[in-house]
Amino acid sequence: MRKGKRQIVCMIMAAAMLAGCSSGGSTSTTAAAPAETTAPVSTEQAASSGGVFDASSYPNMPVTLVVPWKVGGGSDVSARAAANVFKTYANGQPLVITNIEGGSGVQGISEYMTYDPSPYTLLSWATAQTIKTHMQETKFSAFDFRPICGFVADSPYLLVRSDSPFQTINDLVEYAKENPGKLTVGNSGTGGGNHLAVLQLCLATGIEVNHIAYEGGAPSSSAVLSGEIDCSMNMPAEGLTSVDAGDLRMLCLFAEERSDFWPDVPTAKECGVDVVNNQFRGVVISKEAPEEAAAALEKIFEQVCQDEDFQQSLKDLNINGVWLDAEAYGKAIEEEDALYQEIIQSNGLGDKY
Amino acid sequence: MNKRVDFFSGIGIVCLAAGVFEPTTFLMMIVGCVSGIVIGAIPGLSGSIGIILLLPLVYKLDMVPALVVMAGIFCGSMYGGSIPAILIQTPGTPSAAATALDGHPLAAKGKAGKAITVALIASVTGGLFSGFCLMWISPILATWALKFQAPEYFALALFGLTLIASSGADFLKGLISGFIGLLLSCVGVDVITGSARFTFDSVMLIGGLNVLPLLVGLFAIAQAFADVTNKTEPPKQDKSYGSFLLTKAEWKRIAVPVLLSGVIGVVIGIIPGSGGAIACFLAYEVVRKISKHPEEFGHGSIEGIAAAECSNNATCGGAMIPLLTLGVPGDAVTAVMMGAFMLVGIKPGPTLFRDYGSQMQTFFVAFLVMQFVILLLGALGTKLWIRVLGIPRTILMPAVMLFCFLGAFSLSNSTKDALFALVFGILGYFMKKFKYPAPPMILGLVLGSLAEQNMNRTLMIYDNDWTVLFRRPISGVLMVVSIGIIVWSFREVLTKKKGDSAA
Repeated sequence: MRKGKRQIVCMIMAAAMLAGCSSGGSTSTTAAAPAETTAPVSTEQAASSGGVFDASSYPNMPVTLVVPWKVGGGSDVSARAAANVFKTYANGQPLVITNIEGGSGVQGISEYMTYDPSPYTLLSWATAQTIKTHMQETKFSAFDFRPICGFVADSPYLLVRSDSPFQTINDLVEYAKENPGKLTVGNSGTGGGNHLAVLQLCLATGIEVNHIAYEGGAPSSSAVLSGEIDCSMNMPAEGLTSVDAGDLRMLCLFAEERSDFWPDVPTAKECGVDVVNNQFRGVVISKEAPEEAAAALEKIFEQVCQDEDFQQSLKDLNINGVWLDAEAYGKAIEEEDALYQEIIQSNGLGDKY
Repeated sequence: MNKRVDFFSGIGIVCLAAGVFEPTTFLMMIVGCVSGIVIGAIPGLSGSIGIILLLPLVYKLDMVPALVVMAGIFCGSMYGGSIPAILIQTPGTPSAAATALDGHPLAAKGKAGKAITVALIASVTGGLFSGFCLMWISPILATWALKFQAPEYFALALFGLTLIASSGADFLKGLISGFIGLLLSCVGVDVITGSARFTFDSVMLIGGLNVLPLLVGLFAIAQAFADVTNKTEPPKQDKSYGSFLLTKAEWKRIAVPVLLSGVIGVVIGIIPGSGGAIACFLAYEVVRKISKHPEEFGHGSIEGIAAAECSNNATCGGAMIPLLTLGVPGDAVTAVMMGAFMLVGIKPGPTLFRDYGSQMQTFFVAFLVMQFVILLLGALGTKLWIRVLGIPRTILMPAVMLFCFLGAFSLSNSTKDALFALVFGILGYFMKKFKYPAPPMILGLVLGSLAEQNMNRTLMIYDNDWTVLFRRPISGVLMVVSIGIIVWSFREVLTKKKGDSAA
């Protein structure tokens, strides 16, 4: 019996090791997979890098990027695309992604703020995070971090069913003007980026619509498909499979100019509805980290953004890559902060105002 | 992306087979089935705990292997549970409770081998049958469910919630547990209004409660606590198994019970709030009523074993139907699966079949192949699985705890979820001690937000006109049935109370 027991224990150990190996195996293929990134390394890095910052050898150890969103989200996939080529431009040091998700970014940002400021620990920033600081009382604002650069600017679009009577954004605005509060517009959650884009449209055109909130963009676009709502504001790549299948139609894109991904889709602006909405994603760093580090990182990311592999992987993901340097990104954050504060305050959204 | 593979065309079969026998998928199938059988065979650990323990692994997998490993654990544990039920009269999982009624008496007669063989054959047949149902019903239901709108989803969630309340042994304790679950579903920023509820200004609560850490706590950690504090030794098993083979007459005897219980299992599986534990007793009773030898039941009837084991395995495929097509989990195991789905980035629901059609078909074929893997593993490894019963608890439970916290931590890479798991583990331990069922709380948490959000959407879209819930045909039927169940359950409780006070 004793021998039998030992055999079983060995078997279980072997099974556990097998499980361990298989997960280890898959992580080694992508430099940014979460298993090796679970432990935030900032504390030791700060300690080992010492007090003096040496710009000539920077970076001489892996750089951590805290993404306060889950694996597979927009911020995560674009950060991972950057991480794939980061090494080439950063003395061979990898960009390691740590996902700390929860509470629309609040969880990850709060944890980032508890780390010792280090030139090796960055935070990923997105418009949704700026919005959040006005929806709820948060312990931080969008200006508590030093911007390094912005590298993604996506614009939302309106989706309608293929058989919808609305052919252009003007049809839709006209209908909403004649029937105030009748038009049902889906969004991915009250106070989310898509909802505020709808409110921006309302503000600009003076229309009143019935906002219907869903838990994310996919259920919102599905609701258009089932006929539950008239249209839905979505971000790429929400609902695009249905657009490709011909069940949904992109009415217009709220960008400055037409997108290369959908050259046939007009912008709202060219239809005479002056609404441009950019959802930026970028990188910021603690204000207490050395300024030289921020400058060095800005240079590295500039090269990353010019990298062809990086640009191709963004294209494959339907993500609109841009380049905003630290100053431009800082200005973009300022502008969006003012815009969303106004929209949120004037509509009485959230808990903060 | 939208392509459907035709099952009957040669190319279709080759494609599907290639998908199923793709190394990772096939390896995961075996890993799932083996861990399922082992976990099922250990009294106290069930399929839901099995999936929880493998979360750190599932998290790293692609969609199809992830689905396959979870389904493997689900099906494997249903069979595994029968082994201790037969040998030591302790069902390995609640779903094998009815198996013990006849399995152990048969083993006491020195025919344990026969009992295990019947359990294996019945399990595999039940699994196969439910696999076919899953394959044929799901796509049809999914196409139909694409037309579901907010009122239908609200009515469906309400229907699920009423069933939970009425399905438990103790009506009141089930309700208390369910309502706590509903309350927990309100925590976090509300999707409809955008305001934070029950967050107490805590960063941890602003995102709401994740279902998985709760499951880890309420099921796995609570079980480990309960086991550590339980000092009774497991009963010893008999050494002789007798022959593992069945005679021709015995094959004939179990044929009809197996078919019948397969149907019962699938139907019970589909209904939210019920599961293997209910199905096995129901099938057992039905088969006894139609049997030519009802007197043998309870004394080692192979028909009884066949009915119980076939029906509980048939619930696996059945329970996955509403999960995959509607995004409504039917029991604790599928609730865990739903949480794990989110982890690999899949949102169960009608759009699953539209967006991942070919992956789903590969999964269905894998579900069928899996039953043969269980048959093979069961036939070859019977004596090995029996040895699992000898693992000292002092080694097993610390390992379980370790995997629990590993799984909880890996959800969001923060200690937050591990902390939640611990808190709910302690709560779960006391719930276990005072006999409050945990599944209603989980389903309350999962269905609560579905019900609330869709009710809000319904009222917003239809201008606060709630009668629309009754005017639309599908939601109307579901609403009437739900109300019927509520009225019926209360009458049942009231009459029982009267009976108690009279006696």
